[in-house]
Amino acid sequence: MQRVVQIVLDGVSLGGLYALVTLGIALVFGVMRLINFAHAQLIMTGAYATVLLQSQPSPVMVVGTVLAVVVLALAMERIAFRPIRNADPTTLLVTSFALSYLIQNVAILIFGLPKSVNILGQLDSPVVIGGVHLSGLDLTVIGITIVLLVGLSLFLGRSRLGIQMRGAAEDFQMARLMGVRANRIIAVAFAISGAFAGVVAVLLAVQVGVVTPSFGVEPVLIGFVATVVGGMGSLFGAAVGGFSIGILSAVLQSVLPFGVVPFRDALVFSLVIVTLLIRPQGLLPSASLRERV
Amino acid sequence: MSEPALTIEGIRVEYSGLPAVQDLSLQIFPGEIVGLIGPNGAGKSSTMWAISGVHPPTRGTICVAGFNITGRRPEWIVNRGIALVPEGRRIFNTLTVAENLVLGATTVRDRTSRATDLDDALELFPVLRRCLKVPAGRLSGGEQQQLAIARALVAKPNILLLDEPSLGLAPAVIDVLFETLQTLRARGLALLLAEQNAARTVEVSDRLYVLQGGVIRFSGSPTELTRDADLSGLYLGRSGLLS
Repeated sequence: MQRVVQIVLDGVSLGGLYALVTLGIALVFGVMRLINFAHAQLIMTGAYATVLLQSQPSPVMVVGTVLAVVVLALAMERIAFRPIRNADPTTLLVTSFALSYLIQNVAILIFGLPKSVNILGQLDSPVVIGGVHLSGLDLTVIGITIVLLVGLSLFLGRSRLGIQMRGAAEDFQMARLMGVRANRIIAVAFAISGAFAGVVAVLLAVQVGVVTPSFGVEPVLIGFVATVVGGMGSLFGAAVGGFSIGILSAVLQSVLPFGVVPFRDALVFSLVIVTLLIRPQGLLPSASLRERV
Repeated sequence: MSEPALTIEGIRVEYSGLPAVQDLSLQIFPGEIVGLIGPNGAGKSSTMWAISGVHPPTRGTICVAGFNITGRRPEWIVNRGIALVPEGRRIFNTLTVAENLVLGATTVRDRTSRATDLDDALELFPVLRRCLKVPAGRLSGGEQQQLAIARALVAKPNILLLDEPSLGLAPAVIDVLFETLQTLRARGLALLLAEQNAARTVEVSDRLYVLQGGVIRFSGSPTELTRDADLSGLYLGRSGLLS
């Protein structure tokens, strides 16, 4: 029983991190139908911000990192995506690729070699609850994920801006006809996406301890897969997709024979393919993916 | 007569260079229903999209109470008092009825005014009051149409554009719908009603425009339309529905 609880908690911790990544991707996709490949570079920028701010007190470092990523996300929207918002989806996609490479190469120019980061060391200490071993970081990830998911749910469900965002995600053109300001709602989506990327950056930086220009690429790739599995355009689906892949990875990590563990991700993605063959629209697809003007 | 609520002068609407509407001019005054009838592809919806800013005209002007709104963004135009009830209703299926109405009132800044407008809309469509927490996608076609109109009304428009509101509805529901339109006219709203259901449109309209191939073929009163043998035969049947 303890082993099952252990696996579930490991899965929820990993899945929570993926869910934060997928939600960041899905929020922007929802209102703009943009698959933002530069989301990985938002996480990378956040990780470098933690490197630069690691000598500061923890709250300053965390808030500073999140703010830096939010500012970059807003700049990305304003400078790169807003001018081509009504362009073909392919143009948006190529732009996000170009932006992704640009930011990555700027990071190579500025930082060069990998940078070590040694922050929030107190989170490394293990916690034992009823025989289940968890690191402080796992508990932090689970706690932060719960807080952010509840916060996002309240924002989307209770606030006028949140309702506008959900409406825009379902039918952007119609939302504009209701008076929803396109620039504002898209900027808010990018800002929240950036904030989530900032939080993920801090958590991953604590976990990994080394920041390179390719930091964030792997979780974002898994995030894209999780978004598709959950159902493109559906925020709830995105969270479910993130948690599903996290829990599946943790389960396979525990049950696979030692020699097969290196092939865990191959098995995870094989199961993803099977899922998409059965449900091509994803587990919880968006109600509407209308064309926007 | 008072100032026109909406004045359109010589607009041309194109899709990929091909004209959908050519040299269209019309006026709507407060407290009147203007019918826009014509077959499928005549340019009715294109006119609606042009007025609401989704697909602006390439030529001509659209003015609301003296303000030129041509080429403005949809979110700006709705702030000038124009609300659209689009073809197919386009309600937000995953949002509840109440959330659809909240979204409809996006442009209304004052909280008290929003509550009053919501009450007014629910008084007009009492069926919606009973299902405020129901996802809009679960409503029947008639209820969804009522929600689409209520959602437009909570924006406090002076001009209401209705694109094929009777499409796909049962005759009894259409009766209720057209009665509601007359109530809104009595409240002083200017209504532009685009319909393929010409007979019903002629019954409720004060003035009519007949569109064919993107061009206005007729403009005048319902009585004048019935006197035009060709058009009344084409749109109202040989028996002359109004005779």
